[in-house]
Amino acid sequence: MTNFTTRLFQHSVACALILMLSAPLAMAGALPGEEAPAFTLQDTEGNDHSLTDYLAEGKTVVLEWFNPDCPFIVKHHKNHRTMNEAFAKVKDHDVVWLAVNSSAEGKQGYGLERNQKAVKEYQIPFPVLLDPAGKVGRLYGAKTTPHMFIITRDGKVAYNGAIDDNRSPTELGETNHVLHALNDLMQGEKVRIPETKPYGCSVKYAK
Amino acid sequence: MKKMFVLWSFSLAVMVGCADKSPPGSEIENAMSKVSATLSSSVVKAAPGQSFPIMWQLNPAHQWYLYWDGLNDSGFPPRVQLDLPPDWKAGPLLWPAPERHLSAGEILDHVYHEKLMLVQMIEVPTGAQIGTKLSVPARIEWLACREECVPGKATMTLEFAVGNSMIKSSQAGKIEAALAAMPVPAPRGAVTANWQEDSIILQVEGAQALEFFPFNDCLEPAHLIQDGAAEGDSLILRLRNPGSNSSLKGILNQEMKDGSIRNWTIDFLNETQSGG
Repeated sequence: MTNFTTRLFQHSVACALILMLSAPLAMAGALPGEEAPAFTLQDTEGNDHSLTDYLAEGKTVVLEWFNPDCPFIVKHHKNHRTMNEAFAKVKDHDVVWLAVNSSAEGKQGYGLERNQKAVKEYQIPFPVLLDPAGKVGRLYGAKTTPHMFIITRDGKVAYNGAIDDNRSPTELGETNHVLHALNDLMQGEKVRIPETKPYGCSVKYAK
Repeated sequence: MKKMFVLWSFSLAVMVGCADKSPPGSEIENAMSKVSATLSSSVVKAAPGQSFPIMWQLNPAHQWYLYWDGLNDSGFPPRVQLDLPPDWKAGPLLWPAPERHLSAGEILDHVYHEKLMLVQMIEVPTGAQIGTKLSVPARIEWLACREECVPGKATMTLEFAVGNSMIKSSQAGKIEAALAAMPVPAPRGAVTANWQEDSIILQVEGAQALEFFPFNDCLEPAHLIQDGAAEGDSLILRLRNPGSNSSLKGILNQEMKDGSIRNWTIDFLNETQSGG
């Protein structure tokens, strides 16, 4: 290899390394049937919540991507009580419901204070976990608020998608996909519809 | 008679013009929702059996955008409702080509940063009575976003009359121009589609850049962020479920070597080697 070619090669490798190291964390995505990414996050009261721990307790875990100021979240938490009512139906069946907020600093819905206020305002009966770096959101491929995931006790993703079948920011749907999926699981059956297209505001990740 | 006709036409024009402006209640909604909305007719009068376009126009405030009615990761496209009397028909909304909008977290949407003009054809029933005047309640709702998103809605009334022949309104030129700018089906053979095992290569001779905007019922692209735009005359779309029965359908935006822009709708039946 000539000196010029060597320098060109070294320059190209250096550039490639710089690009790789500076690239933002890529979105993975937790598809039905895949292993759910492990995580530990703190809620608005400072308590840690670990997926691994819940699964070890034999729980089914529902994740709801959340942003208190997104109109679709307002639809389901303030104008209607979709999430609270769904949780009430399943909480005595070894189901844990966790809201996850991946809004970055400076973005809509960010911060401990805002989310503590939202818990009170929306009377949320389950933890709201804070993920400001967006690491868990990106691991799951969460795109919208809300974006729902169900993880069964074997650690696999059983459902990924929308809460219901009406993509409007104001109207409720007729079919609650999450309740239907949980019902299938509680009957000991496979989830009949494991994936739907989520809808809502975009998750407010850091650039 | 002539004076009465002039007065009546003026009144209709005023009513249509007023129908172009949202009533005070929905202006307040519009101010909060960052979008102003109008509804215009291309005619003040139409004859039985004739069709004519109307136009819903949404103007988002600076830096705000609205969503296209195709494949998006987030958001909500405008929805309309026209309470036409029985036998009157409204065609589907016609959408102009959008722009790609990529947000952090690999969230890809197709949006409109400037005014959005949606055109809809209205069909006058053949049995419509000459001299009938209609006031049609109309409603539109939307989601406007910037960093945050704000829903909005407006209610309006569209005034028509049925006459012996069509009389165009002052908005006709603008509406017809919007209709003419809508994406049209690709001319036969103008876009070649080469199906591979799990991808499709679209090619347009003379193009220097291509973008593909999938419809909601399109065969799902696997990597639309990377594959949906390309320099040159070809675009390779990797597919998520090559064995699916869906077709590849959407809008193909082409920037030609002569600087012109074309928007064609395409619909290719799945012929991947692993399915179809």
